[in-house]
Amino acid sequence: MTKLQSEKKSPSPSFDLNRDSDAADLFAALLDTADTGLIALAPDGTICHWNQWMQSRSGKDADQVMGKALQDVFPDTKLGRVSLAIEDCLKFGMPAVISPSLNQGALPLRPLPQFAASFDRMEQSIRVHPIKTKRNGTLCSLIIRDVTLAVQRDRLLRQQAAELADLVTQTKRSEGRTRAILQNTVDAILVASDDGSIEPLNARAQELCGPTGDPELRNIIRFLLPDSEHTPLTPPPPNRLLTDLGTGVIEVLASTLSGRNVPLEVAISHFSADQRYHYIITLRDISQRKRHEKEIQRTMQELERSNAELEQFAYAASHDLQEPLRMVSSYTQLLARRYEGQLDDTADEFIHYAVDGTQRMQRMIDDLLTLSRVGRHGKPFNPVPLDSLFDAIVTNFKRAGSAPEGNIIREGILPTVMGDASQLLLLFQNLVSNGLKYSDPTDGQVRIFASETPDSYRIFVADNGIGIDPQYHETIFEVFKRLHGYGDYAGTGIGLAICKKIVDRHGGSIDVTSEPGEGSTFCVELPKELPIVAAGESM
Amino acid sequence: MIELTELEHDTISELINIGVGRAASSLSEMVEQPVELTVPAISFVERFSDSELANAPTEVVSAVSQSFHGPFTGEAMLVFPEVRSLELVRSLLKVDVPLDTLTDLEQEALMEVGNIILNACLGSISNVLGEPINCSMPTFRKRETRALLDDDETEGSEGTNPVLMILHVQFMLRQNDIDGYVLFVMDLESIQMLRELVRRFLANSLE
Amino acid sequence: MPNTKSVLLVDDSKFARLLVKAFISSNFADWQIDEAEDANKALEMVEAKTYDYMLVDFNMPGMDGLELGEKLRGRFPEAVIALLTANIQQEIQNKAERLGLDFIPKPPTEDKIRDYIASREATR
Repeated sequence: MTKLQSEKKSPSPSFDLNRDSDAADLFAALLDTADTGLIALAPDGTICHWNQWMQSRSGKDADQVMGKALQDVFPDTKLGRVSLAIEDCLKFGMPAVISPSLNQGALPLRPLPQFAASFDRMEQSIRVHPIKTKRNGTLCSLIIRDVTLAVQRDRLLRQQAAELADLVTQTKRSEGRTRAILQNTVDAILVASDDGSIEPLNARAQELCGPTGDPELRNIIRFLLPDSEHTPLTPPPPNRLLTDLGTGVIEVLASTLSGRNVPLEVAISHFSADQRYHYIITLRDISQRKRHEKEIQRTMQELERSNAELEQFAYAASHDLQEPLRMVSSYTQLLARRYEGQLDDTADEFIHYAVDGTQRMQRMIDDLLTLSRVGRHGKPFNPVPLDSLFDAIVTNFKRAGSAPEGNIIREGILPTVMGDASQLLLLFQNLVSNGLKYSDPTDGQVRIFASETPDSYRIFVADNGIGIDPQYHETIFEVFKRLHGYGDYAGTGIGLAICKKIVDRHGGSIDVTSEPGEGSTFCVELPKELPIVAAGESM
Repeated sequence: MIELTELEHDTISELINIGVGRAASSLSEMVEQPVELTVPAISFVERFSDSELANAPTEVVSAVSQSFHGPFTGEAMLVFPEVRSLELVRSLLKVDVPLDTLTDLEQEALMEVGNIILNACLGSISNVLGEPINCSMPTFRKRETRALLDDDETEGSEGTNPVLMILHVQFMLRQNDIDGYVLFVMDLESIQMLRELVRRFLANSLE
Repeated sequence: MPNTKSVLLVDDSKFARLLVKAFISSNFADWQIDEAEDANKALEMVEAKTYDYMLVDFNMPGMDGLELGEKLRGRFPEAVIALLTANIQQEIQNKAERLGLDFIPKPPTEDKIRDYIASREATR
């Protein structure tokens, strides 16, 4: 100190550190500017300094605490570690670190307002220092730093780390699951990269492409991939491609070294990863499907052949029967014209029965011929506006005089459908005629209306006639099914069979809803898009 | 070479054990769970490379060190392999954090654990032998084992080869046991002084 | 001292035994003091001789002081048995109390040992 004094001889300082009172003022003021808590304890453990920071954070003024032990200042707080550290410091001169993690809120200090919501107390990092003095022995200082912000960040860090770890576990788990799914998929799955490499992804792919699989398969796949220009291509043997390329469906034949031929359907999709293009190739074993397809094809051919034979027979039979029948019919009619009233009554009656029989037979043969022609002589399908079609039907009935004026009622506009115009005319004429036939001749009515579904049109023909018992709703569409004796209603029992056959040929369906005495409603449903079979047959 | 009689060796062990026992009870009270601390072995080596610790020279260790001055002078250190230090701190704090380094706050907690143990060991020796020892605040370091003693600030060890007193310490916590070391790094003069003080104490106590 | 008592010191630290022995003999001159360095040795010794005081260290290799204390208490309900340990964890203290053992915190000092024995003598 003498050295300092000599250097600062003049001018005489207004503030002199050598004056005890000045020094004390300065140091106390300096300590009050500190952004940490400062407590000094006398050798007997009583407080001899308590800076401004401590006052504001503890809410206790210096003059309230001076000369008291810390425990007496905070009587409600268990100071355990802090007390021991102070004791060790004063007794043995040991310094101490008191960390926030092991001593949460060691002293009851208020957190700053921004932390008050999540912290009851300030989080503190405390240092306990021995201070050796010449005159007073060992004192003890406590330096308290507010580390609430650091604790808050640490909590956040832990939380995020835990969340991250959870995420990793979850990802691993789902990865494991995905792998299991891939491995256990019955389809073979491979991935091809734009460098030409093809890698089997699961067990089935390994089997097909592995050492006992088909050595040609990778080459076939490479051939099927778009723009694999990196590797020179050798076209696979033609018998290995089961479908024409370009049809959208690719089927190939794998011939494994274990001697099995496996037809495979190939699906190719792609994705980008690591700035490269990859293809996923799925190979599905379609042996089973191929077998079924073959089976169906054979059955179909069989069916077509027998149908054709049957139609041929029906046509031939009805055609050939017509000739002799016409002869019988002509001569019985001749007999009736010439000899009616000349023989006795019984003879007249017999001739009448003969004429009637031959006429009925004639109609049946005509209808049978019509029926067989539906399949054999169909015309190509064209748009048919049903409104004009029904105009024609009404005109036909008027001309025949078979129906009273105004008893064929159309409700709303009828759609235009695809079909064979003459067959559709026959179909609806039959249905209308049917409706009139089974109705009261004077006030019988047939209503025609239509509705639409996303895929089809429905055309309804409804009458107010005698109705049909539900038990016959299925069978009335079969050939020669009559529900009534011949004498009650005219008809051959073939009309609805013809209707059914026409609807079938148009890929549609026909059914009836009816209750006896309540009238009947026939519904013809025709598809908007022609099924391939029907269209193909019509070509 | 440091020559200690069996009784001198035993005395130092007992002083250390007393210190460690006190440290264990402080810790136990702080973390509100049983903490047992034992010192299965104490050894003296003249070169660090002779110690068991030096067997894994590239292992990263966490160390808390405090220098001490008094009749004997040197540096006291609590050393754990880093993984063990994580286990220790996290089981004391009863948290499980999926991080493989100590966070700042965990580091400070480890510093406090070291402070408590080292203070207790030094305090026990100082108290029983009746000689005051001054200690510095603890500092933390994380290094490879082989660099553990490099550029340490131990006063009095400059120019002379330090002698090491190595305590193998074992924490027994609820779930697991964690092994670490307490090192006292002193120069030969200091360790001879320690022996001298032990002898004097034994002579006084036992007449 | 009116009569001679016998003391058994059980501690793996020879230093601790010497220290405690010195403190006792300087205050209770004629007492007989025997030593054992572990629990097994102690159990052997109590087969041959009955002790008035048994001072047992807690931290010992093998059987610890609490276990030994329990066995000794079972055999000698009248004897004074104390656990000497630096470890003052509540859990250990509670166990010692339940077993009817006294508790002397380490390090042993002359005052501590003398006062403890004196107080036990007074209540006998």
